[in-house]
Amino acid sequence: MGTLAPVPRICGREAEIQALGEALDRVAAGGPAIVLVEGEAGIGKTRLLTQVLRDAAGRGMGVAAGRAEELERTRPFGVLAAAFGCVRSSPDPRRAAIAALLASQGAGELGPITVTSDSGLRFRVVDAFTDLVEELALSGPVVIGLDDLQWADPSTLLTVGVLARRLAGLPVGVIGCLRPSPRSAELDRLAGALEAVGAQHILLHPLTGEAVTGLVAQAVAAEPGPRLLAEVAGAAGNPLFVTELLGALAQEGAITTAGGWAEVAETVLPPTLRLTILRRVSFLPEPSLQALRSASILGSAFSLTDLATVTGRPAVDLSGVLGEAMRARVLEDDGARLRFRHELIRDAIYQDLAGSVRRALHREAGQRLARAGAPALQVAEHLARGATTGDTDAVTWLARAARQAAPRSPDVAADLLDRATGLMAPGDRGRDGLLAERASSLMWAGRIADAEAACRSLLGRDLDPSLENTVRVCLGNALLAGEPRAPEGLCELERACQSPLLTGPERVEAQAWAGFARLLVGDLDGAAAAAVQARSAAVSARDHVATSIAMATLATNALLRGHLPEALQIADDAVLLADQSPGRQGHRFPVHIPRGYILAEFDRLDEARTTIETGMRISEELGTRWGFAHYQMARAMERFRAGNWDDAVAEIETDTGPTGETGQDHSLILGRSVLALIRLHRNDLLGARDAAALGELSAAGAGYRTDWSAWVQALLLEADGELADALATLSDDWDRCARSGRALEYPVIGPDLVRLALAAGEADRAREVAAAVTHVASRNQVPWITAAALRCQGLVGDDPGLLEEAVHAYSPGSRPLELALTCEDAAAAAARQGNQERAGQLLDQAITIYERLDAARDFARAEAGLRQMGVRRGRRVTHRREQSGWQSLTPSERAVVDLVTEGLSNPQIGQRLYVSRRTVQTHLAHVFAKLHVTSRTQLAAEAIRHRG
Amino acid sequence: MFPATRAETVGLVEIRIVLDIVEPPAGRLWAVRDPGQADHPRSEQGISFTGWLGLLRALYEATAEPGSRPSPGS
Repeated sequence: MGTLAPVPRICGREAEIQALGEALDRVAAGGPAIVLVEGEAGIGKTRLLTQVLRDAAGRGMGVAAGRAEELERTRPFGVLAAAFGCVRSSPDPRRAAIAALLASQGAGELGPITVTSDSGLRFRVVDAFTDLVEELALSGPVVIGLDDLQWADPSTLLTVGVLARRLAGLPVGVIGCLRPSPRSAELDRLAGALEAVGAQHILLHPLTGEAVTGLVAQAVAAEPGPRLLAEVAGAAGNPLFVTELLGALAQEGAITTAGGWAEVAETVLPPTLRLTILRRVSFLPEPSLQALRSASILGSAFSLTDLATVTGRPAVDLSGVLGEAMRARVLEDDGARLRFRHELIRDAIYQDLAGSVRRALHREAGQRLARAGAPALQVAEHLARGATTGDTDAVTWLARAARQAAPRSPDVAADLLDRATGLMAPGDRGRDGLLAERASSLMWAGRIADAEAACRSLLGRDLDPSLENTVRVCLGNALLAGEPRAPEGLCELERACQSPLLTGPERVEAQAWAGFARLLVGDLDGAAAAAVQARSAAVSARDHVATSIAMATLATNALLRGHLPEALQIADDAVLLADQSPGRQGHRFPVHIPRGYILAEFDRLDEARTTIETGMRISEELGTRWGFAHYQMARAMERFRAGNWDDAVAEIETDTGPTGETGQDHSLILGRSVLALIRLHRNDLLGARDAAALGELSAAGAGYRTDWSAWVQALLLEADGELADALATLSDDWDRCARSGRALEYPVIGPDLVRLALAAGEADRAREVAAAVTHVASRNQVPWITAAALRCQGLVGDDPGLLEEAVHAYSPGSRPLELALTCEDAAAAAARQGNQERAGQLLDQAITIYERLDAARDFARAEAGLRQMGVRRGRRVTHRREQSGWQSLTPSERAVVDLVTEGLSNPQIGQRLYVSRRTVQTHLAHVFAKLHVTSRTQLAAEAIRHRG
Repeated sequence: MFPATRAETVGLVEIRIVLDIVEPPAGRLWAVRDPGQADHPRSEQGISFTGWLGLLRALYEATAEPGSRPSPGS
């Protein structure tokens, strides 16, 4: 069979080949290139990808090629693992380590999936893959080719998206091929993520008539005659259709060649592609066809061993039978497995089986594979395809496969559980349990809205009472993920707590989360009461995660109340207990975050940084991604406090990555407020308003430090000259804090409120605020809080002495902005008392700080103050920092550049600088933009040149 | 689905198909050497097939072996 030679070159894709060649050029030049090639089945995506990968290899680039399979969509990270050769026996320890992670047991495999059972393997694997790519790229350009992305598992798609975001400046090419359909939500998300980072999208259209002529001429090795061309015109420019049609005609002896022309006797409209493929395959001997039918059950690619298992025939017999199919190019050997030359060939054979036959074959395959000890995912896939409603075997295997997949790919787990419940009879008692597990899987997957809908659907009907609380806890968590809905989350968790049906461990978990939820809604008394109860129950039950939740709630509670020593004591204990818990399970709730915030409030910024770094490292090791955004925000706050505003901005920008992956957005509220503050001080009022508006939108609830949103709004109103509104806004904010006991905010917003109240003639209000700040200061021996109290008192009494004391109190601390603002206040008071010289010195001190912070607005105001007093500055005024070029780089950015020049990877740089790899990436993105370079290679060269 | 040229190559044979299922097809077929005959001979059971592949192969069996046909125009 098969009288045509394989088509040696691609026809009619010159523009696409050129575009892909240019992508390789970009990679060769040291930068990233991402290309998506989209087109219908048979249109030539795979050939194009194969050619570009061959070209890449020919240019000395590293190549990793993988292809997704329809029947392997449930194998987490399957495509990437195959592309990078991640097997346990790999001589490369990085690849072997990834294989070990993929094979390791997750907590979810041992029991039902719950909202807190996430062992976090998924993000560890994601990070391991991205680290591997980065390290490979540091040794030379790498091109990753991924075919048939429409079948790729969700974890692979997630990783590609993360990888694309972290590629800036690395010589990495990612070329993905996909069909227009099917299009999963995960694939849509990936396409959006790739588009956001500048991916090129190539649409493969049908071949032109000229290209088809060229293709036919190559295949028949002659000039095609008009009837032959008319015949292949029916293939509508689909090259696979054209070649299959030519193959069928050739096998039927319908093509004659004479005088350099190839022709058919008569033109007949070709049938569909599927029938054309079958027409060609039908020439194979019956035993080969039988084997192909069985093989089609296994998917587009299959091992001879699996085929032997499902057919019950010895592999040696099958290899003989399949030899004919390989010679006819129906099958190919890809080195590891046999593969149908095109997925459509497999589809044609598969779809040619009657539905009942297909189901029976799948069922038998599943049973035989199960007996042979095949992986649960593979067994489940076949049993599910062979099942009818009520098939308990299929349901059991699907649930088992879901629990196995959950730690690495909760999306897959949710999908498998969806299929399992779809097979169960509506009255099946086990159905609700699996639906509850599915809801938890959706939570893990960051599909918060889907999780909420799944929970509500369960709660909205006659649910098995023993499951109600599990579902409510899951729903509560889903609602807590988005802070504005925290009150609803609290409501669900409280209902769960009150249920008499709760088991002991469930009650402990529900109580712990309920306490945390109360904190988020601003009910400090309620949070404390619930957390004390939860802590006691959790410690007794040895529930380490619940213990951490309760203690973190108590520590944060004490912090917000302004009881810093107590807060730190609880946080220290929480970290210690988590450290001592088996497998450090207690760290699955990020207890280092409150400790980091508390230390920052103590102005112990170095310790704050260390604790945040430690927490992040543990979270990375445990794979608990959901805390990342909070860590990032804690670090942003520490940077902001220390006056390293560029770093703070980088951390806040970096924060959006993990937030997008986990669906948790608490930290964005505070982040946007801090961003707005920085922009305001830097005189970017438009940007400040944008950030503040987003922060305000998110801060509809009364969660952790949402008061900052109102504070920023008040300062923006003041900047607009709306002093009365500014005072009213800040006054309301103050009252909210007072009502709920959030005294920690007093020294933060107090000085501005005193200032605004005095300007409005509300001296009583100013005195009341100053007294409250003083009260907080009296119970915390913390310099900045003492300084804030002195500043408030000084402003109220227009007392330069007190304001000087405030300046003095701030000085040893780490709050340059507050110090500078207090210097201004002290200068104004000194000037009013005629001490122009001291006023000038204080303003000079403020201006120096503003310069360092790049706080243009404050700088201008302080300079204007100087001019009004007729005071000349003692030294030359420097200009605002450059926006581009080497002078524009921040100290952190310079440090990153130095380490890039040394050839370190982002994770290595992160370890060296005590920041996350994501923050390093953000710094690098800023550096690239400022220096107008596009690759690390260019950057290193530029750095060496700059050093001269 | 076959090209009209097929009639020239297999001679005067009428194919009668009884379909039990339409898609993918399943049933039996007969090659009737005398097209005027009203019904198939009772003695003949026909060739069973399932799927398009089975139908194609049944047709080859009822007419000629694949590849043994003379090429068009010969």
